[in-house]
Amino acid sequence: MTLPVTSSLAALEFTSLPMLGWLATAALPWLIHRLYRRQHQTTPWAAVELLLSAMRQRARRVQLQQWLLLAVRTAILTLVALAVAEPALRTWAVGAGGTAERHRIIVVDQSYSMGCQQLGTSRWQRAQAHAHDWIESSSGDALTLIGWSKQAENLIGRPTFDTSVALAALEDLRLTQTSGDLPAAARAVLGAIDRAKVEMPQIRTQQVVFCTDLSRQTWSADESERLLLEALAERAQVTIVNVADDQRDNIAVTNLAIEPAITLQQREATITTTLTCFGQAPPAGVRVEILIEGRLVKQQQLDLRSDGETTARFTHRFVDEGVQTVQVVVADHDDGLAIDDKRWLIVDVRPNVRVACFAGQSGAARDLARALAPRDSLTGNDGAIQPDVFSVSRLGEIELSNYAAVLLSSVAELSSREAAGLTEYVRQGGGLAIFLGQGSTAERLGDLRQVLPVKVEGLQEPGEYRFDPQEYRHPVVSPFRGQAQSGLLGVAVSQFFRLRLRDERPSAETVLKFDTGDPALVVDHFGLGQVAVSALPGSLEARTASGAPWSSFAFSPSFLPVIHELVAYLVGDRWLRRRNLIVGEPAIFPWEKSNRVATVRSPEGVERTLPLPGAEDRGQLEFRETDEQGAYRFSFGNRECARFAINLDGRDSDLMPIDPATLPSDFSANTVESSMALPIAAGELSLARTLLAAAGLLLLLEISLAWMLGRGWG
Amino acid sequence: MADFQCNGRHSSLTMQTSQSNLDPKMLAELEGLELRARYIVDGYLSGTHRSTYRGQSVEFTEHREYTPGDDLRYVDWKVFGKTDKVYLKQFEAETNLVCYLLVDISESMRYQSEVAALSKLEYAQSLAAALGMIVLRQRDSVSLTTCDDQVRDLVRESSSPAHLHQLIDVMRQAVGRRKSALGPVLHEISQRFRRRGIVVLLSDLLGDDDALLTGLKHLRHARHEVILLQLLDPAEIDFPFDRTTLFHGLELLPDVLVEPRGVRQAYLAELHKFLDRIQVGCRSLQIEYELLTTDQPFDEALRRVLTKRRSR
Repeated sequence: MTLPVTSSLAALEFTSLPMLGWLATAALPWLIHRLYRRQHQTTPWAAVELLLSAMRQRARRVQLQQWLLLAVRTAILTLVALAVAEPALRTWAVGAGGTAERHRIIVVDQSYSMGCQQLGTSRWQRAQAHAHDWIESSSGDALTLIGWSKQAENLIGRPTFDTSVALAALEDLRLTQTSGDLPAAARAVLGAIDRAKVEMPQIRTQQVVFCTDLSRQTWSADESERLLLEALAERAQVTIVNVADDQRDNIAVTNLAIEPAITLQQREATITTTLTCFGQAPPAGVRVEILIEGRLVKQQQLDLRSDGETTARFTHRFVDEGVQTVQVVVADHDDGLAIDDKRWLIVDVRPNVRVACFAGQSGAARDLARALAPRDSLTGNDGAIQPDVFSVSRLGEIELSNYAAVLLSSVAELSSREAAGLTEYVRQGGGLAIFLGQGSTAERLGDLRQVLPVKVEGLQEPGEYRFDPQEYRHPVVSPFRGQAQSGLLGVAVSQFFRLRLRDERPSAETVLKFDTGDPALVVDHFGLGQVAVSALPGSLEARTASGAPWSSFAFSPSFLPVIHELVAYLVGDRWLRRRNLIVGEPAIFPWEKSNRVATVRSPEGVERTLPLPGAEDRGQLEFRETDEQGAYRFSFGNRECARFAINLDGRDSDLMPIDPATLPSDFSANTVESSMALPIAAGELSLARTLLAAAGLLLLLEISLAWMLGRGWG
Repeated sequence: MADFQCNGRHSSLTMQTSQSNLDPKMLAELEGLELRARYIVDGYLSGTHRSTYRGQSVEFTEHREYTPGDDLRYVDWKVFGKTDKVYLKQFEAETNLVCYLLVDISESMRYQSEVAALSKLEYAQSLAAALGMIVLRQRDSVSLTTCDDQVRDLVRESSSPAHLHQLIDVMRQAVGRRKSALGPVLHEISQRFRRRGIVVLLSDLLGDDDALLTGLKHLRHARHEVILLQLLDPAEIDFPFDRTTLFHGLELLPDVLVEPRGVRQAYLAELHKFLDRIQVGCRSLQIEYELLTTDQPFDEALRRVLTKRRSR
């Protein structure tokens, strides 16, 4: 593509126009010359004719010499005065194509730490002002504007020569509630550079300007990220405008959780919140409030640890069932960054947890059901979990959506319809646990295999095996840490199914292993639900060829808590994780064809209609516009179908800036404080140094000339 | 001693700082031209310099009665011993020499720089008075003419010792406020000096050098012996100015404001060309020429003048 011919104009501009007043000093040599001529000595002289004759001989030369000296002296003062006024030669191109050779990429940090305010001005406002100035001074240059937060977005696309386009894009730019992703910014910049090289071959110089607060969480780079930055520095001139203030102290709510994961009506739950203090903690402590459905229910005065975390716990009995919004607020505290002083948690308060247990053989689910709802008062069970035991033959007729979890015990075979039903159940958010038993094979589970995170590779040779809890890392077994008497390690296993994790399911987690290294219990999410696979049957009914039980697990005191924790994990943890997200994460919830209209209500109370896919009967709706923290409510018609809590990721709450010296040298060398004057803008050629250099040379010339002429040379 | 080169020729205009008692700085403190002249002559004659004018002719012709002021060297003591009367021996040559002193009293002769003790006019007057005294002491006749653009005063020649007073009086009265025009003056005096003699011109010669040489030529045509003593101030020789200077022109010449350092070389070149013209012209007219500066000791000046005379 050939560029249209454009006219190129240039104009001299002065950054410090008032300094031009120093030009008046250029008249000094003239004044001194006149004064000097007045301050002469007088003498009578007889040989005037000889003198006149000599002057006639020398007149022109003397006059030229005097004029030359005068001109040099005037020029020196003029050059100095012009240099002080900081002249810059600005060129710009008129027309669509432009003839500029520089591409300026302005990257504006949109991470939420930029919202920090001090003395009425935020870092964001300063960044916007600087970006505005850089754009304004870019006449004649190709411009790209990149908004940078968790992602980096090129807001203009093809570089533009029209500053008004860039300014309009800057005007639309908003502060986000995410942290900055440095590699994303680097990749976006490199992409813009590559694009400019292809679409504008006349571009010879690339300049990148970061308007940022240099927060260390954003700018700390590992080795690969550092290489990315260095690659950027090799291809472009980098300037970092540091808009940070000196605000370092900040309190942020970095966690809000509830225990147990399955929150039951009329049962006490523990709400745990973590406050992280960056910098110095306020001496008087802070007041923390817990609100449920907007009503203050608890508050506490906390003394925080400087540069550390402080955890507060609140117990609360949920009276009403249903999905509720829990909010924690740091009240009456202004640390310059208010956005991280609150957090939300969506909890589902249930009257009970219904679990469907399907037995592949008679009695195969009995132990499971007993573990879920023990009648022994010593276990403290209060009937929160209500297991229903069915034969697997009834799988096709039971409405699985009425159950929070489904357990399959020693189910050897499933019809395609049954497998499809279970698959959809999990996909729509249900929790499924499969206890492999006698005769179980993956092939005979049919299409359910796609749900399983493991491959079943057959039976292990009979022997003596134990559990390996892997240091109790997984939440299902973490309650057993330090509980040797729980019996988990004492479970005797003589036979088990060998499971192998599927490569295509990297999210699968091994909860428990055997001491052979084989997985004993594996969990993974599938769709909106969770699935667990146990290598052991869920009952003592399973026997080896010798007639011995596969394991003593069902007899072990650890069986009950493991099953409870497993169900809680399948039902509660997954649910909580699905409904409590970080800013920018998509909110996903199921829909059915009968739901004709979906609406979303943002945290600020704005309602919007969402389009539904028309072809399918059911599916998952993915809402990605979770740009602001708070509670989002989704409704089909008048019925709320899902609620999500969107929270900050917390990284940008650390206001400490990175030491520029730790950045790659090209970055650190070109870091300027926002209080400093802009570097000479794009399209401008600094003349100040040139003028000063010229003035210096003229000064040397003047000294030499004056000495030579004074000695009568020339 | 300061020498300068001009156009490759080395000309020596020497300015000696004298250690003698006839230094102008010291003589400048003597009030009275007569006293000064006497001091010069006595100092000169008491030194190694003997007057070449002394006893040109040794042929005794007659006695004459002594009058105060006569040189006691010519007293005939034998006659005194016999008669108790003082008579002077009169020699034939005493009546032959006429020295015409011609002193330029134009305004330019009044110039005196900071380094000079005497102005050119004072120096010329002192030197002329000394020369006159020497001539009279040797029983020769001396005449004095003062001039600028015309003859101002002319004192006829006389050999009387008292004639000196008249000469000094005339020189003392010289005002020196007018232009000089030596050419026409020389023409005039060449017609007025009927008796052949030695014309000693004391002037700075600043002016029309062509007219001057024409005038000198006229003098030579009248068969006068001419001695040209050019008197210049050391500043006119050296041009030592370093600040911007307004040169106030004498003899109605214009004022000139100039940066001296820029024109010094050119001025010195012009000066040298001017002096060369004078010297060459004098040489061609067989005129004795001496360049004197007003800081030169008088004995040195006299020696140069009188030595030249003796060499002829």
